[in-house]
Amino acid sequence: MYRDFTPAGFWLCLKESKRQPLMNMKMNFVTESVLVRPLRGINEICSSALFVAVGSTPPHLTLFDGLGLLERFLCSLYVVPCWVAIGASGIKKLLTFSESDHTFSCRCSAMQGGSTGVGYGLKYQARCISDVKADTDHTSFLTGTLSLKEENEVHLIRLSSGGTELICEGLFSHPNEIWDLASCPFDQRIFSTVFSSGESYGAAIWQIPELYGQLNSPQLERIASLDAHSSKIKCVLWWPTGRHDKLVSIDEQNLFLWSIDTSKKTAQVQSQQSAGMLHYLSGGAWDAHDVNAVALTCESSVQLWDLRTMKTTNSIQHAHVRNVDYDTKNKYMLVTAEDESGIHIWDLRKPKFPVSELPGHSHWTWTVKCNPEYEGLILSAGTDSAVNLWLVPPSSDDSALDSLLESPTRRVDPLLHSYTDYEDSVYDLAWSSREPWIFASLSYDGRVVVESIKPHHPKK
Amino acid sequence: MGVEDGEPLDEKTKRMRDLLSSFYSPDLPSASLRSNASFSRFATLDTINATSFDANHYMNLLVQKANLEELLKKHVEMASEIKNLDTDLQMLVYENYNKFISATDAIKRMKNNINGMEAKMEQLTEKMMSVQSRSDGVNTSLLAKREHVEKLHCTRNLLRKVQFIYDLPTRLEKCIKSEAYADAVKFYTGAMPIFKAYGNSSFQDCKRASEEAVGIIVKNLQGKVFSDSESIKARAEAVMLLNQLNFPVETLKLKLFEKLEQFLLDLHLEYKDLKDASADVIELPSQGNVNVSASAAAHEASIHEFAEALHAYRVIFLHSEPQLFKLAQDLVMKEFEAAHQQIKKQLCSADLLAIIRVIWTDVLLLDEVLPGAALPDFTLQAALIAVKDYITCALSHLLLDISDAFSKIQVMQKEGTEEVHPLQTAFEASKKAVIQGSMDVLLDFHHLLNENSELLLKLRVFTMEWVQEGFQDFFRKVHDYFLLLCGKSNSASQDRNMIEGVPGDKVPAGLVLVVAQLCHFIENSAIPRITEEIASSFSGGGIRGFEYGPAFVPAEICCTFRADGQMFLHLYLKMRTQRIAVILKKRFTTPNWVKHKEPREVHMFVDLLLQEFEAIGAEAKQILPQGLHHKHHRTDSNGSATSSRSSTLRDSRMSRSNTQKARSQLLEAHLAKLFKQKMEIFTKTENTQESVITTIVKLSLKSLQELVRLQTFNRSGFQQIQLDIQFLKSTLKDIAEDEAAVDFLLDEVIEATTERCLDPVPLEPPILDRLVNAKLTKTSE
Repeated sequence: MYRDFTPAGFWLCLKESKRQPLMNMKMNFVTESVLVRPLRGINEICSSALFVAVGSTPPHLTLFDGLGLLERFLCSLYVVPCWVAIGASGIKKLLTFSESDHTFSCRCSAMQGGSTGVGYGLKYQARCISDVKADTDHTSFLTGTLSLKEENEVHLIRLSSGGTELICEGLFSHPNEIWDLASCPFDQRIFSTVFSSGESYGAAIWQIPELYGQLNSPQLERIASLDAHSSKIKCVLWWPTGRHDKLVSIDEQNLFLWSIDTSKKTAQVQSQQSAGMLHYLSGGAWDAHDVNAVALTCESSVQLWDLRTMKTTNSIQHAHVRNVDYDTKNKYMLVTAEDESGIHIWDLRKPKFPVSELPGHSHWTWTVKCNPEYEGLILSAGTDSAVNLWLVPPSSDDSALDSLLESPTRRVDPLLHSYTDYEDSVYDLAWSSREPWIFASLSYDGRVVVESIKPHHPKK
Repeated sequence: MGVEDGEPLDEKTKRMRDLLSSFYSPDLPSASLRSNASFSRFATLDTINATSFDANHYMNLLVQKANLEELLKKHVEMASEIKNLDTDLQMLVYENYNKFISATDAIKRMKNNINGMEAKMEQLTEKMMSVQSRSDGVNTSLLAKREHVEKLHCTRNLLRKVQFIYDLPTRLEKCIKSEAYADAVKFYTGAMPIFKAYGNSSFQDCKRASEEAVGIIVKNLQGKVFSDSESIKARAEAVMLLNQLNFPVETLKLKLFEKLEQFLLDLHLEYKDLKDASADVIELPSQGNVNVSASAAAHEASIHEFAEALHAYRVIFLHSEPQLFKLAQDLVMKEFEAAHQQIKKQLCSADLLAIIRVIWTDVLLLDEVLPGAALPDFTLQAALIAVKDYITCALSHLLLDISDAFSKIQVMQKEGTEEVHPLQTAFEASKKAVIQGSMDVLLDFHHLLNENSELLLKLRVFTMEWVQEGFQDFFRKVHDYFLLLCGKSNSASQDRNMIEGVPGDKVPAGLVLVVAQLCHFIENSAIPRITEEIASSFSGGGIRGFEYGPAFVPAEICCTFRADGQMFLHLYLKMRTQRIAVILKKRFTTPNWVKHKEPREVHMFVDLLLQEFEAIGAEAKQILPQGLHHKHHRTDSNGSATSSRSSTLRDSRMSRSNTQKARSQLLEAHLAKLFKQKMEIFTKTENTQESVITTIVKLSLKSLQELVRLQTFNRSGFQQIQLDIQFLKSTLKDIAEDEAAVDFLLDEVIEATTERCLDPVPLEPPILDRLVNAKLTKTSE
């Protein structure tokens, strides 16, 4: 990630996410290349082969992947005399390039002050990642790409037992670009996606084929299509706590409650209700404590729905809520992320004023997620390319809050840590329910980073 | 005396000698304790007198030591000594015998004398008996006469008393005439028991007459007590006499006391007049002076009068101090109540001083009269409260002034008053309200300290303390007020009465910026000045314990306001970007981008966007200072390499003409990004015009990018965005400072659009240029 003119040459920085320019350059410069060689030594750090082209006209050097499989390698390179590659796992790998036989030798060194997380590169841009809750043996995540023109993929990623590496367990092609993805909480092979192609939107429930390990790019099995929607679908919700045969899907105007039978592979609309023409719904969350309570975000408020009556029971009048999450430890507690850089925590019994407020991000706060195990731990991700870890002191009563407000000097900074080692906006993140001190974040450039909060959390 | 020669004699003599010596010399027994052996061994010739004298040994010794002549001489000596001893012994025996004989004689004589005594004693008893019987006879014969005499004496006394009672009325009248009330009372009280016993029978007339007289006396005495002209002593006497006459003095006392209280009420009214008069002075200085001096003199006179009355009362009625103390304290209380009312009317310190001075002179006067009432202490307490009240009052008025300044802005904005720089004037006004207001208040407080009156000298330390505390509290309230004004505080606990009519949510963004800048101003200018002022005049309180530290902690306040300044600035940014976000959101959610038509001109949302930027620029220019650096300036840049890098990039870009192929431009942008370091877009916002505007532009462009990413475009949609961005690129240059970041963000938007476009074919550069230029000329017109 450094580049500077030096007498010996210059540093060159290549970002994993910039595949598009890479392709362009290949087209542009390959004819002018003086030297095109496979980089043999690079196999030591990544599985795919790379070619390097050194051109006589600027830029002097370009790098592209020959097979289009630049999944787990990434890079900044340094031309002569040596190359520096930064692996997605955060280990700085120093490649020494020998001009005589054009081979690389590899040396690893710890990266200074950089990311501590374990990284994984998707091929294309991506917006959604989900924890595979039903997989009790491994810490796994599902993520899907968002590429308009290329073939999209769903990746099943597993954290190695040592926690030092992310392994691709499954790679499945998906017909359209994926805008939302949710793993089924009771069956690790089932998940739902919301996808689009151009103007049309759709949502479906998929099953990972059993023999996926043997196939290179096996097809997903579509269990059911949630095709009753007439407008743009926003998200699909599973009940987070356990086996439940219902599914909620939200489009801009309507809330659908589906009855799902995974064995029979059917999905039927059980009930449907319009939120009203003027409320553009943007997302929602399902209360882990109450199987009938769903919170929906719309332009001017957060609506709390009862699924039995399919009616709004209550609402929090607060504009520009982008994302919402129920606190899994405290009933009635709801966390919202605002467009304009704020996080609010609400007690649903007192919806007039927020219980507390967190500053959020420098730009939009895109998503918030409460830790499934530890109370008051909240992660937020934003378009300022950062993930913030918050600890909200448990202030159940108002007096404590007041005293907190009255003494700004003594206030404890709720921000535990800010992970800023992202190249692009972070749109989604997921706590691992198996190892609740671990979370995965996904930045738009398709980079998954799995981090442990242990170094930053005072108690654990 | 059987004295024999030789050994027996020796023996006897020795026994005798022992006997005698045991009689006369008590130390011999101790000598006889010595052992014979040692004695004999060391014996000399001198041991002849010792008790353990051994004759044989002595003889041997003698024979050995002495020659014949000495022996002979010794013999003669010895013989004569023996003879002497013999005679002595004889004499002793004889004398003892003599004594014995005389004792026997005496006993014999005693026996004879005792025999006649008994008879004589019997005779004596007989005679005594006869004497007694005679004396009894004389007694009985005289008894009757003596009783008679005693009776007569009684009657005489009675008669004298009766006479006295019959004379009593006349006597009393005489006394009344001569005003000798004391005598009269003495007489009457003397006669009282009789009147009580016989008043209803024999002495009816007499009693009535004297009672009438006493009635007159009582009346006179009462008159005396109430008349102020009588001497205090006379009045006190009168009260004492009345008391003796069993007259209910308590009612008298009550009446007098009521009179005092009434007096106090009247006085209070007068006092109020004085206050009003002094209040008038502020408005009508020329007229008021006369008024004041007149009413002040009147006030002084009446206080004098009151003091005298108190004194009199105290002397007249003993043990009445507690009541009087209470009365005096009431007076002081009332005076301070009046003062409090004045304080509430926001009077200046000079007036407060005048009032306190008047009160203090009054108190001193009263203290002379009632030394035990501890009035000065009481007054001190009351004055403490008054001064404290005054300080809090002054500061709350200051707060009101500031809030007035703000409400004016709001009113102005509501009415839509046409003013060139409404925010600037508001900012200046509020700045002035803060600094000038607090300076005035401090100056006012300063007067309090400079006053030399005894009371205030005592208050000095407290005053300092309170001024410090007051300012601490004041700034805390200002902080609260700002929070409330900007709708940042969470309601319930705050007292809302102060800023009624300010709807928290509807606060205009400009006002938030004013508040932000005012916080900055308070932190950087007002606090240091006030601190300096306080340090120079109001330091050294020392009442608070060391552990609490000083009451006024400028560092803490500065810290609060720095945080506030940042917070309000962010709030301003938030409010502004929120509006822009709405514009952008509408722009991107409304059209169907997949079916977009070919671009004909720059879309009008760009105009709206630029309008917003201009509005923000106008607001910022009114209030915020200009930044020092006019060129690319970043606070949180990651090192020199970065900045040199971005500048060279810009130079190279600027050197290129717009006519270059768009496609290659795009490519170049991608390439440039490859070489570029991650751009730090979200740097810390500084308190300058440029920084604020740049931050808002950057945030808006970032929002634009994010919104683009959510859409899918066809070729025309992409070209429309390209056109809009191209136009923005040329216009934003003049608005935002951090050109590199802005360019970067604009490129990002284009890139995002390319990514989200189904068919990304850019507009031909000549067309692009033509459309942009058309728009530029249109806007310049």
